[in-house]
Amino acid sequence: MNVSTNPWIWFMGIGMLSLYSFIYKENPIYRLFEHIYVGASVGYTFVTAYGNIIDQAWTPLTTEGKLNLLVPIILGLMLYTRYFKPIAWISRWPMSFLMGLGIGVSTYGLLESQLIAQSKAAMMPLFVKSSEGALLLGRSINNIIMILGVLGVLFYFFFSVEHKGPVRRMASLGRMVMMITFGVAFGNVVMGRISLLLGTISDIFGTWLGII
Amino acid sequence: MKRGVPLLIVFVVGFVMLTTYFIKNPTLGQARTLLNNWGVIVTAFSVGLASVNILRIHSARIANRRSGWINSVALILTMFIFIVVGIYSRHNPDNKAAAQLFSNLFDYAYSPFSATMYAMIAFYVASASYRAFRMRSFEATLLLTAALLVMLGNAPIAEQIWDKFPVIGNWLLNVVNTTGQRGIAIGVAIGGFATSLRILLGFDRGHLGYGE
Amino acid sequence: MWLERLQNIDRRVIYTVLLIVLLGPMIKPIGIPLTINKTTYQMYNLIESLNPQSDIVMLAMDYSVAGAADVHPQAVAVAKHLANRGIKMVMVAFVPDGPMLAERVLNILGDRVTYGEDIVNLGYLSGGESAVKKFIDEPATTFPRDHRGNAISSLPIMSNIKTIHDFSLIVDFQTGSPGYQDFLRQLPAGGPLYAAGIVTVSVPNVMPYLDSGQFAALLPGLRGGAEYEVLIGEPGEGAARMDAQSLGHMVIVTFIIVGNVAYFFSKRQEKSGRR
Repeated sequence: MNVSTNPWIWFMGIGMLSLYSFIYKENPIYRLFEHIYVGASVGYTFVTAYGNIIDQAWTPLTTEGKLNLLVPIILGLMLYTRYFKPIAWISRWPMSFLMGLGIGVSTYGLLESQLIAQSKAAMMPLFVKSSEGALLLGRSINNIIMILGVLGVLFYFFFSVEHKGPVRRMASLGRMVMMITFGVAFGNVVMGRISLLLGTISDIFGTWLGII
Repeated sequence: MKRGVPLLIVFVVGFVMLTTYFIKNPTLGQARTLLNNWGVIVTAFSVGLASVNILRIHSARIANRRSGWINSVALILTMFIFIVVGIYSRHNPDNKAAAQLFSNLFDYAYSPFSATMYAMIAFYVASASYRAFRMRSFEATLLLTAALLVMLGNAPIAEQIWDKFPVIGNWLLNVVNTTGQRGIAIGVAIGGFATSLRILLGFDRGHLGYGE
Repeated sequence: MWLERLQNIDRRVIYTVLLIVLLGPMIKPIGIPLTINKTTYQMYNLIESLNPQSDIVMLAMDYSVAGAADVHPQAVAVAKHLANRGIKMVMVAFVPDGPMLAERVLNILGDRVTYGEDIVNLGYLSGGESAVKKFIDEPATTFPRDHRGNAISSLPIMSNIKTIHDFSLIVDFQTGSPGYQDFLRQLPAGGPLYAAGIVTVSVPNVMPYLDSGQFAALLPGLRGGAEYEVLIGEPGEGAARMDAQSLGHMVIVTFIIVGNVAYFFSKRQEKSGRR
């Protein structure tokens, strides 16, 4: 056992244990460190945003004379009018700017990379053959599952026709595929959370207490 | 002014950005670059809103001596320490002590506390797995079985027990999960496109908030 | 009676069992053999195929400190591999935590790289997808200075970067947004290859993009990082945690099975009691 003598590491360890104490019961020490965490998070994010404003707006405006940058600076400041009731409506302008920009930037790519590329990828041969012409059974079965499965999921979310007959059967196939998909997702959630827990165990029992 | 102008801003900005993907024109290209660069700056300003909000809420709590006000003091103090040290070290990159202090604040306060808040969920996942994850129906059984097989497929120790666990786990991930996720991705793309159009054309006005 | 008790076990017992099971192999590793998955080989071979004389790789450090335990080992292992091969790296971040985590990677690389010549940490750009787009449109001029405060013009590595096409490969380490969706939407046709190192939770979501060929390679979570460490012959914190990870999965699997067995039998008892 090789306990750290670094006061920073002690602060880290005590803080982490205090936060973990929540899983036993909510308590004042947990609340204190929870607030410290929120303060740290907001403070850190503020510093990074400040750096961006300086580098992307203020410095080019003041040293290179890029006057067009006054527009985003004014729009950015307009966001803060929301704190003054009589002129709070002004903050809608920059919000609308960001909304329009977000839509304009992402929509084309959304259709291309998500709708078209994924639809194309779903159009695969039902029967896969090797270069010698022999049927590759495993891959063919996989392809059939993937084609029918994608159609099934789409049918499940397609409400323009009544779900009965073949439509209902396809929709229920889609439902089954989604259940397995969610199961896979849950399995990954468990794995991911354990990874994160291991990181903090390493910090507490390794970096701080020197047991690991 | 209060609703018409924001709707016009969304439409014009979104339309200009979208058009540039279909019409290759140098002027439009320049407009797109300019608008996008402005967006980066306005977003940086928007980050400050969180700090102002937090400051308003917690300074009111301190002023009124509401319960837990001492935690609010800790929050604001931490936030200001981060902001002051961060901004100082940014403007004085040669001051190694300030840079080291900021680095320590990041490494021993913000980073481990943030990791702990997320890692804590692992305990809840474990508890939920035991108490709530039940084979109550056929679909729940599908979900649960898929989750179990994926977890076993990713645990090297399970592979020592039966070497087919990773094969099954990978098949579920690569075939069935890919099918389900693809169907969902295509659906989301169609939904996202429809929502974008609704916002762009002013049918959807949620981003303007309520009131006048 | 005992079935009811088994079903209503105190949650703190479950927490303690999980903690002990994870802590054990962290203190005393068991050394369970790790099989390398196809996707990890794909990433390894992709980096092996690069030419140190002409290829430059962009490392997008888009992971947060909250998810760093899952993704950071990947970033370290890939950066080590690139450094060992003498391939230049440009680190960029579109999430606020990125530049500080990039500094941790730089500290681990140590003497393997010369800062400014072989590698640079450009810092963070806010704006989400707009920021990704800005950097893709103007990678040479987006950042006037790097994260350490050096003017970009003073960094020899940046003289090689004029457009996004000067990168052969983008490896995006990510825990959320901005991430793969933003890059796939914004990368031009014929642009650099795109590979992702992704947090375990998001792995199922990205599989369609790997299948469709939009991803050149994928490293999945801590396991991907651990496998990569083994592949490059430098086991690190990822590999060290795999025993515990493995037992962690087993304990959760056991919880689910025991919980369901208890549920099943108590249901049966209930039914027979009613009869």
